[in-house]
Amino acid sequence: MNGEPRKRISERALSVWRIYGMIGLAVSFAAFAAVIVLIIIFDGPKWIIPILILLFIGEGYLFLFFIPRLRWRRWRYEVREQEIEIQQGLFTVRRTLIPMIRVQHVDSKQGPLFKKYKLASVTISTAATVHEIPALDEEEAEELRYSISRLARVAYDDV
Amino acid sequence: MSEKKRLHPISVIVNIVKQLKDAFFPLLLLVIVGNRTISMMWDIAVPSAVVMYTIVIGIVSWLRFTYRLEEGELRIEHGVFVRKKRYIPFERIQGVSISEGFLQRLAGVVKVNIETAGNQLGEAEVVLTAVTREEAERIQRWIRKAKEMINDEMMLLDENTASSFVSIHQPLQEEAKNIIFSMSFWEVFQVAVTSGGALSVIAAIFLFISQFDDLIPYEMLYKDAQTMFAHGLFDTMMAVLLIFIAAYMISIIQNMLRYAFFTVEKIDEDIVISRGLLERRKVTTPVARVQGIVIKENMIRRWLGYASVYIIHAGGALDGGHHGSIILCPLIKKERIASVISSCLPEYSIHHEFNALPKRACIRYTARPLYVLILPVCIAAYFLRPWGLLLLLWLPIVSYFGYLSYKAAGWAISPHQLALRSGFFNMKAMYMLKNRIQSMEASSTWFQKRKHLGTIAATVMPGIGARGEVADLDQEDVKTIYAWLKRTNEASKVSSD
Repeated sequence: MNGEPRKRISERALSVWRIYGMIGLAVSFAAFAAVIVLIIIFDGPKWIIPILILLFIGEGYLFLFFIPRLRWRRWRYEVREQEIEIQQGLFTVRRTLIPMIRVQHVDSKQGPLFKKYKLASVTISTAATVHEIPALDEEEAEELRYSISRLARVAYDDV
Repeated sequence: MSEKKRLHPISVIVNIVKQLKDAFFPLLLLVIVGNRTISMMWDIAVPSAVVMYTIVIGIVSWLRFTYRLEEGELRIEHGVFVRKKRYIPFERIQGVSISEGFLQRLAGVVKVNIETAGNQLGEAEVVLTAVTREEAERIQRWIRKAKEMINDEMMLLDENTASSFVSIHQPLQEEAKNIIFSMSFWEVFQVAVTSGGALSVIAAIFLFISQFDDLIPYEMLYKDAQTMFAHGLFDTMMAVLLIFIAAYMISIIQNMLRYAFFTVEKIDEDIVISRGLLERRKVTTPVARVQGIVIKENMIRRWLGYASVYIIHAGGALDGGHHGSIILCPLIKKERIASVISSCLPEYSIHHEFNALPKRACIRYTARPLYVLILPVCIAAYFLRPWGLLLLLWLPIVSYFGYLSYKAAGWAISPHQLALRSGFFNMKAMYMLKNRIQSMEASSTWFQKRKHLGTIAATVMPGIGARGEVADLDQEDVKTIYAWLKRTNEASKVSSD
């Protein structure tokens, strides 16, 4: 196996993931706040409060910095003439190999948040599986979609 | 044959019976739970009106249903109030299967299921409920011939996509019929006895009971239950045991009916599987649509030296709900598998040895069942002292099972084929051809990486059944398998460069 796939996804992915993380944190902030308020109202053991605050800070660090960073570092892909290779995962590093002849179609898509950051994700479908490369630069995604579908067609003709 | 044809009149009765069967429970509820203030007349009037309506509709829809084969299309016109026309080009037809229900057998006719490519859209099948056997064969022949013509024009059509057709080059008359596999009555009985179907029967019984939710007089039932408990736990357990035995018996009978006269034939490039006693089912699968082979051995069968063989095929659910996976041999002596496979799917080879996992994976396999069990078992043991402590014995037993599944797991590659084997209670070996693998995945968790281990998985079709996976291979082996799928690509790249 000749090393990891070479290309990385856009660094702006980090910003988007952080926004997602923030949304998640807002929800858990509400939950933490509710518990703290309940403890105060019902005169519960006060020593829990600093622990909860620490937990919240820890969660914030995890979801805003640690996880997005690690995920970005892990995410790699490479499109070669005969195959596509993807590597991803936080705790579990997963590498996927898709032979080019098996590619049925390629989609690129862009949500509102992605649009703001000029990002797009590319989805590669085979007859059995769907694989996504998230958060590529808009133009890169477009180019990738085009080149994969062209390579897939060439690979088809060869068979 | 371009004249419009009707189905055999027996289809009127088949349809009516089916409709009434569907309407039976709602009607029953209506009568029993329905409004009591209205006179008894209603209880008779409503059902009889429904029955009358069903019969009339059944006859009219039979009159309206016509089919014909014309200009390379199957043309169907039907509909009672709204007239519908459905034209299906032959190239859209994925497969034709013939089956016989009980009523069809009485009339000496068959049911033809025509499966079309649009199965994502819901209207997957056209059913000709009752046609004569000769007519069914004529339809099959006609469609084959038409496809053959199309195929000649489109020889370059990709063979590997799910929607590919088979090329049938010989005319039907010269076809070489040979029976590859069949089962004796005794073998069918063994299948029935060793199958795990009993549980599904129990589930069905519960489902059946839940149908009567509204009808069961709960107070009486509770009283019954009370007396039952009064009689002691023993009686209750006996009752449960009896239910289990009865369920098992039913399952045996069901399986016997299902697999009776099981035969596999190879006709040209098709594998034809027929089975069933009351309802004769016949499934035709083109070899080109087979995506992989799965050999399953449950514990009892392995012990007796038997296994069952499935083929994974692309296309629809011709086998009645078994999407993607068709049973090729319900029960077969392990030594015979290789010869059966080589005569019906010669591209595959079965006999080779599996490479074992490295020793250091053993500890992970034996520990794996403990992750989930250790906490609940310990808690239960603590609270149910002193006898509950016996539960702790369960832990070494499950970890021994883990050890056995470590022994069972393995992999094998040959130039064109990958085989992955895993599981202990239900040992599953999956054989995949290189040009059928849609994607491959190599992964390793942090713990695996520390021990230089990894997991390999390959997918040939959507669905869990069509994915092979083995955990805790040596990372070098993972790389070998991963590179194996790559290598042809690199070889062909050389030629294209």
